[in-house]
Amino acid sequence: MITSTPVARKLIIMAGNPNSGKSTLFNLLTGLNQKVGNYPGVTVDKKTGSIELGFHKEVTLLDLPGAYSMYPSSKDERIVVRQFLASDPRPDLILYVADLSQLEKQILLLTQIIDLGFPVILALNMADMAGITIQTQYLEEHLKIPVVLISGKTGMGIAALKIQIASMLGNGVEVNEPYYRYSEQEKKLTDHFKNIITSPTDYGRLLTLHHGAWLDNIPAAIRKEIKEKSEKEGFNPIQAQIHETMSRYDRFTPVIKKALHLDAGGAGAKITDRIDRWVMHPLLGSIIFFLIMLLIFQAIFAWATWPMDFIEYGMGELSLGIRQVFPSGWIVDLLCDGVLAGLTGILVFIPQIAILFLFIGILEEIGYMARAVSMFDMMMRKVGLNGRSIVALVSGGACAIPAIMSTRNISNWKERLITIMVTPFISCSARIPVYGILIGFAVPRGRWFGFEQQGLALMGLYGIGIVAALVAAYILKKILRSEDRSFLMMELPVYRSPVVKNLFYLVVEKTKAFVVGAGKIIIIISLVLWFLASFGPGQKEVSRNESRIETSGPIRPALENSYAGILGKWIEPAIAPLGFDWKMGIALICSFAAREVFVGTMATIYSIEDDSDVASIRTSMSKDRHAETGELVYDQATTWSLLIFYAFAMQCMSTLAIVKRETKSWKWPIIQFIMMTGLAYIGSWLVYQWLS
Amino acid sequence: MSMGILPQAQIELVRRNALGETLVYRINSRFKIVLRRDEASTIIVETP
Repeated sequence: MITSTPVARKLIIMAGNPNSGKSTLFNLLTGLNQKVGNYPGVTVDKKTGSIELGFHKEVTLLDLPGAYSMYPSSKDERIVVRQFLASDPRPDLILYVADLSQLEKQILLLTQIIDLGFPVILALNMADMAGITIQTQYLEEHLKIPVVLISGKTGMGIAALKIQIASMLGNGVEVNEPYYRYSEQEKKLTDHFKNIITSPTDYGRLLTLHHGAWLDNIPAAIRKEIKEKSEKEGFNPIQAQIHETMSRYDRFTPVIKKALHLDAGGAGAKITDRIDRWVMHPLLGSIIFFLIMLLIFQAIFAWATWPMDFIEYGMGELSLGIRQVFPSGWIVDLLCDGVLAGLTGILVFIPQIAILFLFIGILEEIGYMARAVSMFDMMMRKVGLNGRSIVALVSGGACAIPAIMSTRNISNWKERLITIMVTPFISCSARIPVYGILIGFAVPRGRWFGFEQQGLALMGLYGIGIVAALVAAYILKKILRSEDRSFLMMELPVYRSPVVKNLFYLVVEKTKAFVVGAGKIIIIISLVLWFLASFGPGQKEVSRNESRIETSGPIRPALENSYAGILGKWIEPAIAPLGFDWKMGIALICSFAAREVFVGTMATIYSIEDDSDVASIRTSMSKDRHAETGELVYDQATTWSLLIFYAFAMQCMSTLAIVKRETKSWKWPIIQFIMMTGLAYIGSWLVYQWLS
Repeated sequence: MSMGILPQAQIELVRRNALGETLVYRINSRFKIVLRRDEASTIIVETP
């Protein structure tokens, strides 16, 4: 049988087991010519890229999620099966990547793909590792496919691989006889469905019989016939799967044993055992994990500060430049206070996202993340989370956005959703300026058992965030229903040094995903907030010097009369039981764009020259008294109430945008908003009533 | 089975994590996997 595709653009699919080095090879072959999308209906990254191969200028490379076999036990593996059983698009070539040090268990999926009738190249990765000897000709003779030795780390063999790919795409390939020898029952069934199931191979039909219950695009009548015929023939899918798997292993295991020699303790196994003694120690392991997370946390704060300041400064200067060049008016205000302010709100998060994903990438690449997941799985599972949730929860201390993006590797949808829903409870860096101002009113300076009291209050606020996240997770665990079974069966890869190129592509990809995905929504919400703060009913735009939230000025009747001001007054009866007045109401409304806007809004309301001068804002706020009673506005009760509100409330449009993107629905960000803000309201009310 | 854990495979318990809820096994002296205790308890192992 000769395969050929009439379309000009060739498609190559990359497949292989998890941790086989597929992504590294994908990055090497495509460079920055790659884009990330989603498979329909699921939030699993669909990575495609373009490669140039001599006269084949138009070649698309699709990187499939890692899978162990055509009998899926996760959503990722189901995607792989769907892709291979789909009639369109049918790939021109399969590039199968296998890790030489784990070759024996990586050949099963390869032989299944061969049986689906695709031309295949076997790329044996990590050929540069010490302690491994391989005789590729044995494999080539047995599998009847070309085998190329490569190293994703050093780039060894990549040129030879490209030549092999170009040759197979150009010449067409003779597809081999099926590798698996079918049982009589399987033969009978696949023959029966030959004209019913549109698959060009017997194995494709056999897999459709196995997975007919969940595969797409199977008409109900055929689904019914598959079920009835299988039952009539006494077809037991589990027994058939065991038979097939054993049969394949029986064929290729002796060949692998003959072809591959692996030194005892070679390929990093010995050093991995030594490191694991420390890293996976029940007590030391936890301490090491928290030290690593502390390092990441500190790095995010320390390294992200100056680029964030630079971005804010640069955008501020740009805004100033526009105002100097163009005549003032609502268009310039819209551009500067709406569009540029929204853009700043997106760009300013890039350093934190990049640094966090750089560290997560390093931990994944070296093989540490799998250990961390296994250590915290039990604790996380008790509250409905997953071992992998620990990464998101800790990262949430810096910023919920990259933390939520990092949940993509949680395969169980319910556990992933719960992680997404509760991560914003963890106090992020944006809350720090708010805490910084308010703790000064609520807690006097001084020491308590040798500890700085204000520092303890800050720690307490972080503590209640963690408790809220865990309690909310437990409640969601009880409420949410899912058919997905939660299980942990995970391979612990050997420790390896990270591939710098991989880290670079990961950081670029994640940053791009945030800017493009959440950016659009953030811009829209920024424009709405600009409108609310700049206009009032029956009036023209409030003049720039009076209306801009970021700009200093006298207490402005304009802001009071803007839609935001009116909203502040309108919600005053609702927030009065929490001890808040209309000015706080404006700050609350504006803070729904981002929590840190609280400082700027307060600076505007209290006529502070420079909103970064926290001490000045604090002084002005601390002197503010109620007009009627003459009592301090920011007394203990009101301040603690406000602190609790900011600790719990969902006040970050960027987070809501990213939750919408990750859950593919507005339902979950809306529920999250109501859940968090509802808890904030109740918590604030209780605190205010208790302290006042 | 897809991960290469077949009849006759040699399974060695390498480590128990905190409270013994997750277990690390070495399979055929080649690779390590992590299992939850309740999942591991469903696997029948014959001792030599």
